[in-house]
Amino acid sequence: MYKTYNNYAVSLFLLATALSPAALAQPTATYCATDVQKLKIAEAVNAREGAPTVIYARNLEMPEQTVVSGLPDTVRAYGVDMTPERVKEIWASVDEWGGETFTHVIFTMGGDHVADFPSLVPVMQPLDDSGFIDIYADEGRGVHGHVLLERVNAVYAAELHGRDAVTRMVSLYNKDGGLIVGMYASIAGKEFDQRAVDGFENTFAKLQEYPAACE
Amino acid sequence: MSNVTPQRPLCAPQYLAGAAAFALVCAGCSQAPVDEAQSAVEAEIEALNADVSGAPAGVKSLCATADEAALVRKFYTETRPGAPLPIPGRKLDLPESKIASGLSADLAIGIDGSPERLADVWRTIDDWGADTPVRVVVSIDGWHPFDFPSKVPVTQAKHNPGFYDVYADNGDGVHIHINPDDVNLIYAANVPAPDGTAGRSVNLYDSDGRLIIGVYASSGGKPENADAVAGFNGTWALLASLPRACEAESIEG
Repeated sequence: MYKTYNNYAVSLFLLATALSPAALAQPTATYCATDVQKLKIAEAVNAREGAPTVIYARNLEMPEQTVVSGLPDTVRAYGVDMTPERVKEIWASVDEWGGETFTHVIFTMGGDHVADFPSLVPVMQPLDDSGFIDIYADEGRGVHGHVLLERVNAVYAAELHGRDAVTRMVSLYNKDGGLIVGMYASIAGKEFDQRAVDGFENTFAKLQEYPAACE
Repeated sequence: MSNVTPQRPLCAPQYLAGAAAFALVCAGCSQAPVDEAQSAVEAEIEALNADVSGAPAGVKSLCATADEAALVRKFYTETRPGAPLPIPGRKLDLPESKIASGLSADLAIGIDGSPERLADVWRTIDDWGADTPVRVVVSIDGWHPFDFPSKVPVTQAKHNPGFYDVYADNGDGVHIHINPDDVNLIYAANVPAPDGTAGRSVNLYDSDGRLIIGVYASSGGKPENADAVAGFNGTWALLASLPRACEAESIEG
């Protein structure tokens, strides 16, 4: 009987620990791909080169953050653990892609459903103390997005080459390793705006100013 | 003392905040093979299933309890009438399905999801008109809302394998790929704003009660498009003709 309660106490403790603010601030290491996962990811990428990473994640049933952390060496990718200040800095670099620059804004709700919105770059609005960054496109006529800073776990940029074209994305991930929002500068097979590609390079370089999330 | 592993809504991801917690708690579950443990779990099952009468077990936990419904209705009467549903979801820290199901039956109506019903409902959205302006809303994890102006995303003639595909603006607008097997609830909501407008939306919810996609025919406090409003009324009529997922009447007692 004691063991029973003890097990439950341990479970409750673990649950409480898992849900504590400290745990919610857990760095991204949980979502760094293992060697076995890397093999599966490489297989998926080789089978369909240049795809948006949401597709690999869905097909592999892995958190997308794990997938982007384990992309093969043929893919240029870099990811960083986030803090609220870093998120602001990274999105400020996305702003510099240009408010009139065409992109695709991609979501994958629950990892299972995908929405691809063509959009001008959503630009950060003046900051307040709400804990969110507000990102609006087309001077407020386009998307109104709100990202809760403390729930952004990591940001990755990746450039995935397909046969004839390149997919380039900057994606924010949540505490579960799931996609919050992906800013796609280009998607293989679709029209793209060169200004977005140029901006992507700058954001990639910005990310590289910070330590990599996964070794 | 029997040796039964509790089965096991406590270990279902929808009851936990994250995958890490899921893994940890499930580890704990599997290590408590005793009657007391099972009793506790059964009590939890009973409590979850006691939320609302009249709904299948899998859906009940996505429906608002009476207490949750009271919070939702207070929010809409006192805090922010007419607000888009993700807002009270975040403020009250409830899955959005509980916001929709917590509204009174004259303000929201919902059905269980299935691939066939998704197709039936979305065909009524198609009828709003491909050129009709709407807003398409996602709310990632319930914490990060995005509200896109769009034309109506309409059902495609062919779908990608495993998806129900709806595209706007003849394919130049949003492309949405919905896994029909993960659509657990479909709700229409019509929440009045103080200025006489209303937020009219059709929302799909997943197995966690989270919003998959919301199509807003109108937003409280903003100009309304007559075609979108008329179309929404058609969708509402279809939903009203089908068995309810959450019996709001029982909440009202």
